[in-house]
Amino acid sequence: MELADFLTPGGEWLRGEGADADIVMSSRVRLARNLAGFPFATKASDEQKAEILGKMRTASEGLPLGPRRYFVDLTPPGSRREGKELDLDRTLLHERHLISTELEKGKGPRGVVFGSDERVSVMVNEEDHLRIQAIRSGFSLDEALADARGLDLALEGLVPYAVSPTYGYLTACPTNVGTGLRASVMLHLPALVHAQEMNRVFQAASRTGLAVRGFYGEGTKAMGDFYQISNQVTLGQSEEEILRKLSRMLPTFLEYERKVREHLSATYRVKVEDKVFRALAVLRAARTVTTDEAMELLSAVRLGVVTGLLSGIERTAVHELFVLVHPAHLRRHAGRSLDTALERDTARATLLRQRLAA
Amino acid sequence: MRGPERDGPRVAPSRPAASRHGSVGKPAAGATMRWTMICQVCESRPATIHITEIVADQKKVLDLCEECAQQKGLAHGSGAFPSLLQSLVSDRPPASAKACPECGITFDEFRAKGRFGCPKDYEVFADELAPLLEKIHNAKQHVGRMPVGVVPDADRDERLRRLRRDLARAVAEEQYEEAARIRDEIRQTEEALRGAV
Repeated sequence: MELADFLTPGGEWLRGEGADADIVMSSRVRLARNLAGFPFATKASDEQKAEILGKMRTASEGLPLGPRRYFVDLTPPGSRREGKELDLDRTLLHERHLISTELEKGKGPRGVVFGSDERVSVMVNEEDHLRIQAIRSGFSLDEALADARGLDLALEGLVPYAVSPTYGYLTACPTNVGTGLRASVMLHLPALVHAQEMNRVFQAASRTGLAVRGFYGEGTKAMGDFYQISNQVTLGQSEEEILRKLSRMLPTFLEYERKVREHLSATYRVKVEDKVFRALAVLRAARTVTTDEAMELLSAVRLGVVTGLLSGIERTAVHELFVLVHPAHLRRHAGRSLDTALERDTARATLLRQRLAA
Repeated sequence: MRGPERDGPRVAPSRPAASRHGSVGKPAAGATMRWTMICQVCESRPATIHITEIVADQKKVLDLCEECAQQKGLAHGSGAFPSLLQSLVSDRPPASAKACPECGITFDEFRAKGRFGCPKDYEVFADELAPLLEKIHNAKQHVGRMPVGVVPDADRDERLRRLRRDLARAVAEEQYEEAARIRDEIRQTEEALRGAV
């Protein structure tokens, strides 16, 4: 696979289209699956993991992945590629939300299969043998489930899954057993964060059996005021029921954010404008910018774009920057290793100035 | 009953610009525009972990640095938290020394790792698992979809894992004819499991 193709994030989920796209950045569905006849990843030997990876390499030919497909072998170096190149690949894929932190940092034979529009992917030998993932922009859980199911149906005809009549799809961790389904929506909540109302969001979520996670999923911090809200229950409810419950709760969060946005712009209009325009000014002029600062300022710019305060800036351009400002993408873009933080901060500032030029 | 989720410690993702959360703070080195919250325990390092605990409707907010959070057992490694599962299983009495005949895992080992070793564990530890599933999912029976045309077959699944172990042994002992025979059998069993025969 040519990673040169990966200079620009091509993910459909960054388009900023779909329902409630002013707040809902993307919708994601993942299905955890394990192959029958193998121990789970925790107890599988490297040989067994390699066999599973080989099966998936073959199976990927028969999957509905769109016109172009990629199979990336992320097995540690020693065989195929140089260590440094491979590390970069892993981080790059992680920054694009194509693989999880666990797959990026994990050990042993593992890999990922995905289509060129990056809407669907299958991680191999993560916590479970297979993690089928589908992402769409905006509030589109049903479409994401349909995409994931398409892959699931194709896969179940190619490899036997570990299932039980009582527990459904068997997973390494019982928190995923049953449907193996995790549905999540990534919300941009700058007003709630600014108004220090996030604790209420956490409480409301936990009361209704939902989990709140950061920009890069489980165990990651919130960046750019992005939060992922997802279901916790996977057993005893059908896939549709799980989606319905999450969808039913979602308007509460959306209305809450919109209300606070309205309140802030009615009461502190100048303050809000100042924050938005100042953020854009810094991004257009700064000579060094850290990742955290970039994410924070881009969040303010995104708020300005979706509320109509800022014109002439494409939503997609801002969304792409949420991915491009991370180190592996910066290295790709600069074509240099950018070993020091100062080099990276400088390259980041240059990229931001170019992309957001007036 | 979804008690543990409602009453247990809730973890709020940390934010770099923590000033929005609270009042304690001083400017972080090198970041003039941002303010950093200070750990409530050591009162020196910046707090990067913010925990809201709700007990009987009383909210308690804790702002901790990585080190102090770790000492309190609230963080593992680089900012990762014990999973919901670990917080649920950690306060349970020790289980028996029963081990899975297939993968060898014990319930204690599962508790420590939060992950099973093989599909058979669901059968072996069904009794220990039941209250856990009740807590996590408030359910014990799957109602979602299943692979089309597939009748779950634990025996075949188990047989497949046994065949794979036999195959590894045959290869190690250089018994290639035997290995070829086992491979055929694996293929047939897999096809049967997929519902192809």
